[in-house]
Formats: sequence, C-alpha cells, structure tokens
Amino acid sequence: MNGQTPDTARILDILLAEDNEADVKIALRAFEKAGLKHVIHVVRDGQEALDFLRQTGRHSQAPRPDVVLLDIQMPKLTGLQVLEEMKRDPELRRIPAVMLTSSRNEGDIRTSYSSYASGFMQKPIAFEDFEKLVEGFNRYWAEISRLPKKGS
Amino acid sequence: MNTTPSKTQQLIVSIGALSVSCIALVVMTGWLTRDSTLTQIHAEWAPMQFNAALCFLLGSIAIHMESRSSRPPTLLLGSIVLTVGALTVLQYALAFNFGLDELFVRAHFHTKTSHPGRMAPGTAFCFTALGIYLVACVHLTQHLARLGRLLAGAILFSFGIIALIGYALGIEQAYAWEEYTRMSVLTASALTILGTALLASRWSRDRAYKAVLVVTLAGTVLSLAALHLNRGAELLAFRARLSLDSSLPVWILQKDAGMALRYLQSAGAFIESSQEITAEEFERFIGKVAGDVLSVAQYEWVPLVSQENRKTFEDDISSESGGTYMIHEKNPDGSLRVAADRPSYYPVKYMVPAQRHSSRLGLDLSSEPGSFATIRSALERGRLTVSSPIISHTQARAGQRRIYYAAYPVRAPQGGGYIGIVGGIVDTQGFLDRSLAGLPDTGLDLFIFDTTEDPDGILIAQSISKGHRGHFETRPYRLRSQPLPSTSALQTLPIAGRTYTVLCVPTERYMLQFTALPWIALIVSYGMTVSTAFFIYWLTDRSDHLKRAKRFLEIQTGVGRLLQEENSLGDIARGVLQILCRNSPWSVGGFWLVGPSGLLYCSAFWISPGHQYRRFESASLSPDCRHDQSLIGRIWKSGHHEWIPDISKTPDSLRREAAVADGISSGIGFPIHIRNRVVGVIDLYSRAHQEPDLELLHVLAAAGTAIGQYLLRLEAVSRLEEQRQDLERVNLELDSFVYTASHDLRAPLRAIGSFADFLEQDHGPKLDAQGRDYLSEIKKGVRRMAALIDDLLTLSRLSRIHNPYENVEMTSLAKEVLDRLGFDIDSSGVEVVVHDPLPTIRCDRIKMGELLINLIGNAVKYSSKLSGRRGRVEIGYLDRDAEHVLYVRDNGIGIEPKYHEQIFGMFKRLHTQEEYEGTGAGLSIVKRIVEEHRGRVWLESSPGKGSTFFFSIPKNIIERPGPENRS
Repeated sequence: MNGQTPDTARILDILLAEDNEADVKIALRAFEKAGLKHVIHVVRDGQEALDFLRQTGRHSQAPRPDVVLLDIQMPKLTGLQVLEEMKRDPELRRIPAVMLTSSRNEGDIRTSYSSYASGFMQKPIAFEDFEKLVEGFNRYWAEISRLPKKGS
Repeated sequence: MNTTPSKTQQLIVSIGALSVSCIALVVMTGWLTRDSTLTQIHAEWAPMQFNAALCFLLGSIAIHMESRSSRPPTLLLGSIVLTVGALTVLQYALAFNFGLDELFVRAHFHTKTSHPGRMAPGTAFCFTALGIYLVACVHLTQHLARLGRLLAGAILFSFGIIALIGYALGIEQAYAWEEYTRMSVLTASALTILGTALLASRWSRDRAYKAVLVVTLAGTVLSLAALHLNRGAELLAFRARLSLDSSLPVWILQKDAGMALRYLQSAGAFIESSQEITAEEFERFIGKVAGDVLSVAQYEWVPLVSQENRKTFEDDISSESGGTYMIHEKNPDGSLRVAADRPSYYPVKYMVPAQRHSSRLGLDLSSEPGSFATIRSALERGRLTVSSPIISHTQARAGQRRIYYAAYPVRAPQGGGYIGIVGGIVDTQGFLDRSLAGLPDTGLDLFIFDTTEDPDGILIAQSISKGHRGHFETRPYRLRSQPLPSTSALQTLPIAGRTYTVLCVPTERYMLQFTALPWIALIVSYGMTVSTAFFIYWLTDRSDHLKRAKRFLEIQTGVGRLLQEENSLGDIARGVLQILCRNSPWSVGGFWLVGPSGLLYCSAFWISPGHQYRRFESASLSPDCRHDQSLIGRIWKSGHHEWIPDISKTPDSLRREAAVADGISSGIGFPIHIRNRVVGVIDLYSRAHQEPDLELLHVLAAAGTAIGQYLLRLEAVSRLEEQRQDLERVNLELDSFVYTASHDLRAPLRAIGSFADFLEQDHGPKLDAQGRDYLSEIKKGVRRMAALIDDLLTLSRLSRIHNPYENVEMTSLAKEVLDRLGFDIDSSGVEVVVHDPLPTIRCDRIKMGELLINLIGNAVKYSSKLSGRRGRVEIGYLDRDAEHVLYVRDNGIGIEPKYHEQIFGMFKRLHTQEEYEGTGAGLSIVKRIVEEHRGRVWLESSPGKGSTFFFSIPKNIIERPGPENRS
C-alpha cells in the first residue's frame, strides 16, 4: 500500500508478558475502557514469551506481534533476558519491545535501553493513571509511529 | 659513664707503661750504683735525674691503672708526681733551692746540669701537667677527663718528640732552656712513650683529638721558639751592650795610660833639653799635674851618678834642700844603709809628689831589683820601658796589689850617653780608680790582667761595681786555667809594649737587663696554646655535636616525613632503615614485625649501598632462624632497647657467627611501641666499634614511638575501613530491601486500588451509599499507602545517592521548584514571592530542589485555607558571616512552639488527612538534606502568626566524598 496516511484505526497484535494475574486483568481492562480494539496476547513468563515470538511449542500458530509489552520480573526468564534474546534474533529484532513494569529503578531503565528497548513505562498504582498510560501508548504506537509490515 | 678502652688500646698503654718503668728502674739503679752509663749512656750527654726517673716510674704505674679501671687509685701516685714536678718548677722560677733535687740520691755527676740533681725545667713542667691530670681524673666528668687526658698526653708527647728531634738534628734549643739542665735523651724518649700511651688509651677518631694534639705540638714548638728567640734577642742586645760598656773603660784606660807615659816622656824630654834642672823646676813642670791627673803615683828623676861625682852630688843636694842627702841602698832585709862604693849610682834625686820622711829620696835604685831591671832595660833599649808587675809591699794590706815601674832614659843635651832616667811608679789600682772615676757605674766588674808573660794573666787591678746584691765574694779568676763566666767579655789592652787583658764580668745588676720577658713569653704562649687547645677542642666538639644534632634531626624529620607520605608498610620499613643508616654509623639493619601468627618476621632488611654482609643477610633472612630467641626476641619481650658494643661477646645471638664473620662489631636494637605493646623491633649493626650513645638512643626511641603510632594509625584506618565497608554493605542491603519492599508493595496496592475502581465502575449502581462509602475509604487508603511508599523511597534514596556539589543559583532553582509546584500553587491561590537576589550556594542541586519543594509546598499548603486574607509565601536570604541562611515564610496557621522539635520527626503530623493532606515525611526529608550539607534547620512560628522555616548552609562547605551513586 502506498502513501503515508496514518492508519488511525490500526489494530495491533500486542504481546503482553506479565506474571501477575491482577496486573493482567487491570491491563486488559484499561485497554477495554480506553475503547481500544488491539488484540492482546498474554503470556505468563519469559520462556513462554519467547515461544510465542518464535512460534514454537504451544504457540506454533501464534501471530507475529506488532509490539511487545514486557514486564521485568517474571519467572523462568526475566523481561530483560527476553529483550536480549529478541534483539539477537534477526527476525524478532524488528519488533519494538516496551517495558511495562512496576520498577522505578534507574538501573533497570538504563539496562533496558542498553538492550535496545523501545520504551519504558511504569505501571501506576491508581487505575485512572493506568488508563491514561494505555491511551498514551495507543496514541504513540498505533497512531503516530509507523511499524514495519508483518511478513516481509 | 666512663668509657673503657678497647683491648688494643689497653695493650698499647701497658706496653708503654712497662717500657717507661723499665727505663726508669734502670736509671734509678744507675744512680744508686753510681754507674753513669746507665743514667747518661754517653758521657757527654745529660743524664736522666733520679727524681725524673722516680716520677716516670710512678706515673707509668698510674697511667696503667687508669686505663684499666674507671675509678683508678691514682691519687697518691699522682700527688707525688705533681709535688715533685711543681716544686722543681718553683725552684727554677724562684731561683730557690728547696733541697728537692738531691732528696733521695746525691748527685755525683752533673753533666749539663745547672743545679745538681735537678731535672730539666721542661721535664718538671710535664710532670706537673701529668700530676694534675692524675690527681683530678677521678673527680672529673667523663668529658673533662677525656680532655685532661688528651692535653696531658699531648704535652708529654710534644715535649718528648721535640727534644728527640732536637737530639737527632743537633738543635740544642729543642731540649735546652737557657743555662738550665738539659733534658736527657732518655727523658725525652720516656716522655714520648708515656705521652703516646696516654693519647692512645682513649684515642677516638674525633677531629677534636687530632686538633688538640696538633695545636699542643705546634704550641710547644712555638713557645720554645718564642723563649729562645726572645732570649736570643736579649742575649744579642746584652752582648752588644756589654761590648760597648766594656770598651769604654778600656779605651779610657788606654788613653790615660798613654797620656801618662807620654808625659813621662815629655818630662824626660824637658830634662833633656835643659841641662840640669832644679828640684823646683822638676816639681813645677812635672809634679802636680802628674800626680793629680795622671794617676802615676810618683815621678822621680834618677840621674846617673858616677863614683867620682858622688860626693859633689850629695853636697849639692844637701845644700839645696837644707838637709842631709846621702845615697843609700836597701839591705836584703829591707833596712837602709849608706851605699857602698860602686862605679855608678842611680839615686833618686827628685820625687814628685815629694813625700816627707821618704826613704826613697837618695835611694840607689840599683839596689832595688825590680826598678833597676827596668832602668837597665830602658837604658839598653833607649826608650820607655815598663816593668813587669811588681808586688807592692806597701800596699800589702789590700792583697796582691801590683805596681809598675816605668823608666824613660834621658840623653845628654848634645847627644852622648844617657844622663839618667825619669821614672814613674804606676799604681795600677789607683790609676784604674782615677781613670774610671768619672764614669757611671755600669754594673760591670773589671779585672785587669797582665798577660805579657803569662797567658793566664796576673791580676794587677780591679774595679768592682756596686751592682752586687747580697753577699759578694771576688772569685779568683784566671784567664786560661779556669772557665770564665759565660757572660763575661775580654778586651785586649796594649800599653807600652805590654799586653793587658781586661776581663769584664757583669754583676747581678747588670744581668737585670735579662728580664723575665722570655719566660713570660713562654708562659703566655704556652697558656695561649693550652687555651687554644681547649677552644679548638670545644669548637670541634661543638661542631661535632652540631653535626650529630643535625644527623639526629635528619633522622627525626626523615622518619616523620616518611610516615606522613602514606606509603605502604614495606616502603616505610625500608625507608626508615635507610634513613637511620644514612645518618648514623650503622650500615645494616632489619625491620621486624609481629605477624598474625605471633611470630616475628622480617618486614625489611637494609644494607647501605657499597657494603656487603652476605653471611649475615642470609642468616637473618633464613626462615629457620628462630628470632624470638635472639636479640630481637629479647627486645620484643622486654620492650627495652639493647646496645651491644661488642657483638662477639653477646651470649645467645643466633646470628653472631655470621655477624662476626662479616666483620660486624657493634649492634643496637630498639622496640616499636604502640602504647605499651611491642609490635616490632628494629635492629642495626655496624663494622665500627660503637660505644653506647644516650642521645642516639633517645632519637631512636622517638623514631620507634613514631613508627608505632603510624602502625596504630594504620590499624585504626584499616579498622575504620572495615567498619565503613560493613556499614556500606548494611546500607546497601537496607536500601535494596527498602527498594524491593516498596517495589513489591506497589503491585498489590495497584490491584487493590484498581479493583476497587472496577468495583465502583461496574457495580457501583448496585451498591448503596454505605457500600460506596466503603469503596471510597478503600481507595483513600490505597492513595495514602502509595504516598507513604513514595516517601519511603525518597528517604531511602536520600541516603544512597550523593550528587556532586555544584554552584547553584538559588533564584533559578527556586523558580524551577515553583514551576514544578505550579499547579498546586495556582489551585491554592497563594501568592509566592521570591526576594531577590538569592545567593549562589555550593550544594547538591537535586536535593536542594527537593528541600525547596518540601518547604515551599508545605508553606503553600498550610496557608491555602486562610479565612480573611490571602495566603502569602516568601522566600528570602540572610547573609551571616560563615553561612548562608535562607528562609521560607508563610502567613499560615502557624505552629505551637511545643511542637517545634517534633515536627521534624519522621511521619509526624499535627493535623489529620482531612484537614491537610500529607505523610509527615516532608520535614524529616528537609532536615536530612540540610544536615547532609552540615547546616541547621529551625523554625520561628506561633499559632495564627504564620511560620518561618530557616535553614543554613555553611559557606566553606567541605564536600564529603560519597560512595558511587546507586539508584
């Protein structure tokens, strides 16, 4: 498709890697409340995240996500480790990975960007703040920023 | 502490003392057995006197004892030597004989001895010096004793060696002082040996020693030279004066004698020219002048009268004189009788001065053999003839008074034979007296000898000066057969074909021109020598002392500097040894520390560059060496230093053999203290023999203490470092705990809050008012907890993070803070004023920002709900000398004074959440930030009057180096 007109109503495949049940629910609800139609795939640990990305195991039929949201503290593999793996893989490298974490640790922020994370978001405590965060996320990644087409 | 001489030194002293004692004993035997070979060796040489030998014997015994013990019993021997020496000197000085010289032995020969049995003045002086030293040495301090010994030895040595050199080169002045006894070769040798022994007994390498010896030697030479030169000069002057003073009378005598004889001749000539003279004429022309002026006792006219003319002659004279004149002659017994018949007579016709009752008038001189021989000789030779000296019988009371008869032959006027003689009796003594009457008394005794026939001379007249003091006796001088006084002078006086020798002997008064000046010169210059020696000794001693002090100072400053430079322990150990060896006689040393196992180990081993101590080094560093049983171990246990002057004598030094093999002779060890605990030992060794040196020990002990303190400091520093590391670790753990805790607390909090929201959103309508109220409380609780967690994190961050200080413009920072608080300020309706200019403060910008946020935020919050007036917040600055003071003032509700302290406590609030929101952590954050900057925070406030929060930042802030920033 030619032209640069932004697709304001793009639907994204978002991979959410989060181990905390409550945080998953909150996140999904936030997207819902914001009226966003993106498809959110949830994995519960780092290894599963990689499986999904590599489309292996259980997730052999999984679609390639457009954006990955990574929590840092996860069982098996941490978000940072997943990030590193992703950036090592020539295919997966292209997928922007944004950290979504409770951590306010400056070191985590630094390490994430050193490992080529595309963003770092801190999960707020109040839900309405979470809503605002999701809206902002959507505005940038779904509306403003262009993503590579899948499968090329 | 009196130092004892080393073995070599004691040996030298013993040998010296022994040899001198042998010489002394031999000489004393010689005196006692009257064997001159033993005492003088050569018959021409001066002997060593008995007293000198005795003093040598006693002195050498004393010196031997003095070198062996520190408290030698030399008092008795020393006082004998001193007495003999001093008294002899006094005898010379006062020219008085105390009888000391022949006290023990009669002097039966005195070659070159001025007073029998008396030793040379130089020898006496040496014994005096030696005696003084021996008597005083026990009572003197070590220092003075050393100097005394040095001086005594130097004096003895100088006199001895100079005399020996004099003997060798034939310079008599080296061992002879004026007329006094010459110093014998034996004495000179003994003095040299004894002096050497004294010097060697405590010889040290000090420059002072050599300086004193050189000065004394030079001083002795110069003093003797001064003496001799002075005396020589005086002698020259004396001789010149003597020559002058003796020439004058001789010249006058010659003149007068000549004149007298010429007058005789002219008398004869007068008679010759006039055929016949009368008595009156004789008297007038010849008489008075002759008698008074010319000291000829008597002139007489003796015509030649033949037998035929006798009667006529006698009658003529009788008629002239009015008395009876008869030619008479002397009998052998001296009586007179009429002259017998003879072919010719030689009667005395006229006499001047005329004497009453003189039997001479008319005496036929042919009966007087003395006169007649001269007359006959004169007639034969045809000229003035003077007789040999004739003993004058008339003057017999005055001893052997001699007179002369002078005869001048008178010719007949027209030639022809002699008609008679003019005779003169020369009273030589009277002649002498009259001739010299006008001269001042020069103090010379004159003796006139007739040496024409007898070279030994016949004394004919003498002139004795009044310049004699005390009892005076004329010595019967003889010109050849007896030695004449050396100060006398001889002049030759030829008169009328006879030769006279005038002996001029100076009297005591004349000798007074010999002053004591040369002696004074000697004493003064010797005094100056001794003073110079003292002075040089003191100077070099002082300079050595200064050098020592300088070296000690070097040690102290060097060690101090080393300890301050914060080098490693090994560097310090090596450095200390190097400094010690450089500035002291030691050349090898070790630095031993107590290791963790409790055993001593070698931290550093130092050998001065240029030295080698292979065996000792390997013995010291060998791991088999059990040092706790050696010198080092002893010091470690006792905590006291130890000085080993002679390492071969230490009982149980492990490394002794190696040390001796490498030539080490002395050693020292001293402890390194920390308070009363010995933590190390330093030991040093040297090849040179070292006597214990108190000052050096003090310096070393001080160094040991300094090193001990340094080690203490090291210990403290490392302990501190450990503590700091522990603290850091704990802090780190705490921080990560706090961090993790607050991080982990967020997630469930989020769940609570969010699901409470969901509940409200999804099922809110289903709830009643109470249910909705419950939900709202839940959400409030969540909000509160979130704020608390944030504050906890902030507080934890404060202690973890240290930002570097920078110069912060407070005005711009304040404005930044106001921007950040913008919303809160606007919504509160409070007026905020910044009083320009705010200073530039060196501080942590980020934290200062936090502080301002808290203070200004509080100020705004607590003045936002005012009724009746608008809230106003002011930010200002007060310049106090040493610190910056900033304040935040509000016109809010104020704080009761009793809460002024408490509110800085963590989470402390004075109001409920409904009244004013907040966690109560703000002020404790402010306090912590201010205290980190070494400042203070305080409050002025009262209820209803607003509050002013002051905080101060010191101007000369010292930035604390903090750990790496961690977040």
